[in-house]
Amino acid sequence: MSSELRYTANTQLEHLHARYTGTGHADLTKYDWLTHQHRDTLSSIVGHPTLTAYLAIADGACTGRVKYEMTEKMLQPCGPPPKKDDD
Amino acid sequence: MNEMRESPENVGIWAIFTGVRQQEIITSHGTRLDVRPDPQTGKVATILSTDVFGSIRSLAAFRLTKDYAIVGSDSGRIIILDYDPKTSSFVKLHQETLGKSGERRIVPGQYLAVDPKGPSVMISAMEKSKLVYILNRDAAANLTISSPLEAHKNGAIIHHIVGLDVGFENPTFAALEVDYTESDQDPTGEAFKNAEKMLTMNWILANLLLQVPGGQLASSDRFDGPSGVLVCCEDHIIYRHMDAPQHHVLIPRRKHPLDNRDRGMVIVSAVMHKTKGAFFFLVQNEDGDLFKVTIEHEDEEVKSLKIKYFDTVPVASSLCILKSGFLFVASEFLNDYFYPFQKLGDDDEEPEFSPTSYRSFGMADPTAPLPNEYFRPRPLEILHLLTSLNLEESVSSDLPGIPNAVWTTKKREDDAYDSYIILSFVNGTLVLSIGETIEEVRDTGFLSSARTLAVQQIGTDALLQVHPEGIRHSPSGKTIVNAATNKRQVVVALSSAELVYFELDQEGQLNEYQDRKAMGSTVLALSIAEVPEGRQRTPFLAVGCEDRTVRVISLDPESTLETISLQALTAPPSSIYIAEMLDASINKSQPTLFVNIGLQNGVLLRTVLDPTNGQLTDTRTRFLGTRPVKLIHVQIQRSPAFLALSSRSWLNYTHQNLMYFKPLIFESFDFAWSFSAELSPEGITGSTLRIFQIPKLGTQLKQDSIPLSYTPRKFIAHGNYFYMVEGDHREDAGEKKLAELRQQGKKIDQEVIDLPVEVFGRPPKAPAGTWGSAIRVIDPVKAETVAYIPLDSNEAAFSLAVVPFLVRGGELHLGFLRTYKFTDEGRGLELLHKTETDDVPLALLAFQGRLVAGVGKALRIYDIGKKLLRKVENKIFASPIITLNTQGSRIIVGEMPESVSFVAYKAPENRLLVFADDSQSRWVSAVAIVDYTVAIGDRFGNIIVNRLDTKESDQTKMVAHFHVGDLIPSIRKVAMVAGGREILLYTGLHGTVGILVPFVSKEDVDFISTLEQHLRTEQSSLVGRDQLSWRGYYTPVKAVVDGDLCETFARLPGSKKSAI
Repeated sequence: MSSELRYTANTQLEHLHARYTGTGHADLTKYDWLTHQHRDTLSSIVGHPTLTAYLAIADGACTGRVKYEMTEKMLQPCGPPPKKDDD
Repeated sequence: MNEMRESPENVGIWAIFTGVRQQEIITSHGTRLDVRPDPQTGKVATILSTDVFGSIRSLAAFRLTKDYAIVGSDSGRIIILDYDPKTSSFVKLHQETLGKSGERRIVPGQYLAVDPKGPSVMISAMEKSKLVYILNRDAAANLTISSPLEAHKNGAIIHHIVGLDVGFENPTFAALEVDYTESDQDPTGEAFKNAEKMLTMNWILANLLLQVPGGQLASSDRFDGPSGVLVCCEDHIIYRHMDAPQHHVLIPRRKHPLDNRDRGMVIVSAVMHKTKGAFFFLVQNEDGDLFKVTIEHEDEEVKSLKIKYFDTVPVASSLCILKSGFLFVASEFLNDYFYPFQKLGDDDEEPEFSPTSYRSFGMADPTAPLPNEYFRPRPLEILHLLTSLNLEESVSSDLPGIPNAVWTTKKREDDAYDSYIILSFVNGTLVLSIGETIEEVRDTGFLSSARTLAVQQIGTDALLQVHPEGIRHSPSGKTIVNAATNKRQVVVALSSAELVYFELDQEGQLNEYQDRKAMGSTVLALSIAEVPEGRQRTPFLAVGCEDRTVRVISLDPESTLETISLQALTAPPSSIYIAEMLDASINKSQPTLFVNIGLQNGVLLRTVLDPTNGQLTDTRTRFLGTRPVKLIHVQIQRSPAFLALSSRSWLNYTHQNLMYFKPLIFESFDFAWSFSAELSPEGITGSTLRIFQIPKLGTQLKQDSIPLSYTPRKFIAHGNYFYMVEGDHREDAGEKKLAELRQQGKKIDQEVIDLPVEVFGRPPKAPAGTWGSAIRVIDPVKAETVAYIPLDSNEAAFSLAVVPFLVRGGELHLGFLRTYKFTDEGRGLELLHKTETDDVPLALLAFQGRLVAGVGKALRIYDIGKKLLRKVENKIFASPIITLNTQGSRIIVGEMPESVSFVAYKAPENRLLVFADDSQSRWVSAVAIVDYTVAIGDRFGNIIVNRLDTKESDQTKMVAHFHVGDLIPSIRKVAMVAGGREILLYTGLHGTVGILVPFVSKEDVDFISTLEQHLRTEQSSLVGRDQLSWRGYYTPVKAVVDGDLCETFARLPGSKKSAI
């Protein structure tokens, strides 16, 4: 593969990643992967009425509260990102 | 095969629909769309209920000369539906694909926002994706939809979206979102705080947006409203608009002695109501308190934002105000309620809160807290609950003898209700008049010294009685054995096997037809249909004779009393009923003429009478019971129906255009007749005179409900009683705290504390980690609680089991096993002892005279002593045990995320040995043993059947898999009819009750699965979800036929049916 081709393939890949949020790649860090997983799960809970109701019953809260808290958690489900090693 | 009905539990969002000055409510139940009428029309039963084979996530209505509904679902498509009230069905107008199917984070469908005047619609995902469609009409007045405009924003988590009411300007939408791109890159957490701040309007978290009316009418300069949005935050509501000052108001809190200020309160549902020149909002908080929010404005400038307490109703998933003055509350976990408005709450003494009393409308220093506002909760004042809907009154009175027949009749043709009840005894007739009370009358002109064969109101104001001696004053030598009547025609059968026909002429005189028809065999049953509207007579008479035949005889003037067709029977007929009933599966537009023939051997035949040539076709049979069948005409929802009485009673009726034949859950009747009076417009009377109503036709199952104090967790049947444990998180009666407060001499508003818990809940909610719980003993026959044992000291019961050493364990929060002894033949319980455990025991089971408990991740066997004594333990499980089942010496253990394991108990070595498990991990929620097979319900709405094939195998094999779409808390193997086939019955969190029926023969499987295949191609889902991919949501469907899909066959048009 010529270096030129690799370059175009990479830009395409980057483009695709930007388009399909949540898709993984070879250099994905553990933190990124976990965050993606959590966001997917949280959005799935909000999207499935039965799961929202299940959590609401378990917690003694109402579904509105569960939805609100789950959506809020999506912002940073796994805490702040780890410090980068090189700096 | 799967059959399911969901109880009135609302997941979704409502929308309003208008026909001709009539509103209907569309509700979504997760996997189903329902249409309910306005209660103003007197009807409340659901008109239409459609399974969409997909998960509905959002629903909105918009108006473009008429109302349409938009549905966002997990199909990756946007759907526009039109409801046709004539055929009561949905028409899918548009289906635009916008992404992959399935509930995905970046595929739109979660939120819908409509610009009311545009009209344009925004559909958004949980993250990033937002699409806008413009709707319009083309020259032919068809609804058109534009190609989508993208409003994507990378890294934005969307909390809510709303369309701004900007009049006829360009459509504008508001979105409540938070950007995570920066916070994902910043390890210090500073960006996270900033992002939160963005979302939070500087200091509080927001969760909901509400559209404020705006724009001018074309006809006047007056502004409908200021436009903009209301942002609902935790404890606050803020008015915002571009380039306009903000207004900020605090949501008042309940004035309760135990109120906890730290607990924020969010708005969970809201509705805006707009009338000419005015509008207001009703918003509901987590406790169910409704607040009325009003905005005073001058043109486009907001003068003040006001909020006041309105009423308290159950917490709703959505609210809807009807033009006829009803508030529809689609309750989250309870039934749906209609509340008529008594007034609008404008002129009461409820304090009103407004930001005008704060500096710059409360926005001077956004971080400074505002003073707390309080209101005092009270019972309903503005709304009142519509209760008559669930009315089921019944009257029962004893009679002097055993009547052999009963009729009800009105006096005049145009009377609305019945006036007389006529009871026929062996040697006489009794007439009762219906008024405020029911009493005997003597001067009615009825012959009271003989038994009655038929009673009919004929002509405009005459009553007809047929008795063995004659009809009123037309005596004949032979006795009358049978009679059939309608409004204009009378046919009697004589003991000489002759038929005499009478018809009412224009003057209201009953004329006998010159000839009599000799039948040649004793007549056992007669029936004529009602006179069709606008006609003189019905042309057909059905006669059942002793020679096991039913003949259809013409009553047409040109061929009077000629035999048209003949049907041979297997036994002598006992009763015949001709009825015109609508059955959409036969004819969609017109009622079909059915001849129902009840035989003396308890079999019912239903044939279709061809109205043109009088031929009988399409005969179907059904066994009803052991006694001769009696067929009785009744009126149900103003359409004809009939009761079939044998050793069991059945009711045949039309509901939602389809015909149903259902057994009545009641003791058997001798005779019955429909009854109509002002108090109970639809009812049926039986012998020993009983008046009852059939309140809910749509429900397929009989249900009784018993109010509970907490969420039920588990229950078991033992002996004659049900034992149930219930518990809730964040519940605390607060008695201790109240007592403390009283001791400190604080004043306590007792009225507020005594408010009914069912409506007001137990506010204030206790902090996390507080549990309220109880054990309840229920008598299922009388549907009442016989014993109630509240658990103290913050314990929560999670599981229970009846163990043969007559011990009952209730299970507790911090790890206790409570052992109870039955007292008073099972009516009561007595605490023997409490045993402490190191983890929460979630599952209990009786096993070989001992107790097996899943305590956290450990499986243990206990025996009874002064405490429960641990005998064996197996700690190899990776996750908490939540279900236990047993079969011989095997224990089947369901683990939370790890599916099911088979454990053998080796008595000699006293060991618990895991010998087989599932190769896949599943989030088990319920398990039932079938044989060597287990049925598993999981948390994501799947039912899986696993088989343990051979003894050597240590892995179970999956033999069936099916996605139900509802979380399954319980599954069980039962035989519904004594001696009947065993089926798997499951229930769902959203009220699904379904069954899985095993097929016995290969032919059945082939037949049904071919039908399913055909239907899959014919019937496309209303939300555009592929049925096969829905049923195989997580894993492809295996070896299960979708009964819900097969049921839709009856709704297909005739041509498609015959093609299949």
